Amino acid sequence: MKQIDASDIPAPELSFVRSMADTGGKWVLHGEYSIWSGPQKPGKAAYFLHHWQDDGVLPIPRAASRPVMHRIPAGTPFEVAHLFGFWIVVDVDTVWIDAPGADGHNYALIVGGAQGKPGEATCLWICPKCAGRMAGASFAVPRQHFERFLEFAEGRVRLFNAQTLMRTCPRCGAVHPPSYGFDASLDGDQEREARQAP
Amino acid sequence: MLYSDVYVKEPLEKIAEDWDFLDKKIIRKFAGFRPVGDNIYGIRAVAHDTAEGFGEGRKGTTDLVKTRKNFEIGSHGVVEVARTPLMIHVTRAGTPHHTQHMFGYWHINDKDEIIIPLPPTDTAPAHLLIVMGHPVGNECDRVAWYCDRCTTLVFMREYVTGTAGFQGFWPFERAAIAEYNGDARHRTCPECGLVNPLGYSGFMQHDTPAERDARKAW
Repeated sequence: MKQIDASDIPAPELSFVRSMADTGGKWVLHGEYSIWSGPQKPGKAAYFLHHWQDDGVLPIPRAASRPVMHRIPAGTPFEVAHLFGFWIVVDVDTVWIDAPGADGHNYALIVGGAQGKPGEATCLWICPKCAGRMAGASFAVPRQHFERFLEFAEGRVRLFNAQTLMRTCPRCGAVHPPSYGFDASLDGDQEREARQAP
Repeated sequence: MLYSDVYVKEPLEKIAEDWDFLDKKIIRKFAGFRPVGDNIYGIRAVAHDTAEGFGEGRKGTTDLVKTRKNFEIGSHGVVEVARTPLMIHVTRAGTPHHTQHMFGYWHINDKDEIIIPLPPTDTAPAHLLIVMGHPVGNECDRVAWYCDRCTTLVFMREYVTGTAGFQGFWPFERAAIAEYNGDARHRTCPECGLVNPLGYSGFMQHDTPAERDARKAW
């Protein structure tokens, strides 16, 4: 039988940190939560959280003189304008934090809290004329690999922008403008323009 | 704004009174820990300059001290961990952790625990946000004491939060502290013989005079 050297056994991780002021803008997929955080400098379009409900879209006010902490219940579509142009629905709660600082606002999105989740995530759009849901597609999130959903959503954004039919609301016929994915570095001209639109 | 034509007309406060957990009318609900949806939340104001201010009028019973230190225990013993404003600190499930003057034991939970210090603003003191998953099934919370000198586990009690319910955590915590403090043998290290200091609750209004002294000390 092979002898195990105790020094080969890695020490358990006690904790880890992620800065809300980190400009990297990537998701941390670690432990029981998927976490995104990042700042937005003064002069840039501020991130703005929208939260969908049956009779319309709820704009969540930005932090002014103090931070804001908002819970998005599991199953509720949400979008953060200028950060990603599609709407996300996950099967677990998400927490949004908007904290003003000396150099602008710092933000965090924290997805998780229940064992084995997010297990399913949906990418969709909301009609800006009637608030109906459109072009939804669900994705089974592999355990602890929320980034795969973001890649999936990126593909959906490309499709959405390429097909007017997909951007046409089945309820009222309005055409949704082009959208943008989560990773700004992947933006083409169309996505960049959409991301910067007021 | 793209969606302004379909914004809900009613004021947000009417639709979702607690839409902002940091609102001055809502924040007090999180002075202890409050389960909401998939997570349990706690929010603490950093209201004390030093540990000498405990018990001052108009300060909350779970308010924090600016000079507090935070510790975790791993295979290399006790390590101090920073609480830097705007740094999201995730204590992994199973890691014993203790915050000076805040709770007088080592907390060990079966869920990851997120701690976010927010800096003070013109209208609000610094705050500490705590977010941790809501335990289910056999998932537990534990309060434990390790020897100050040699880090041997001295005493521990376990609560099956997932089955028994979070509402029973604070009575469990107080009972475990009373048991630990009530007998010096519980506080005596079986390895090195050190008699360790008293424990104290996450709520300072429960302190006995001796526990208040312990809160100021560690």
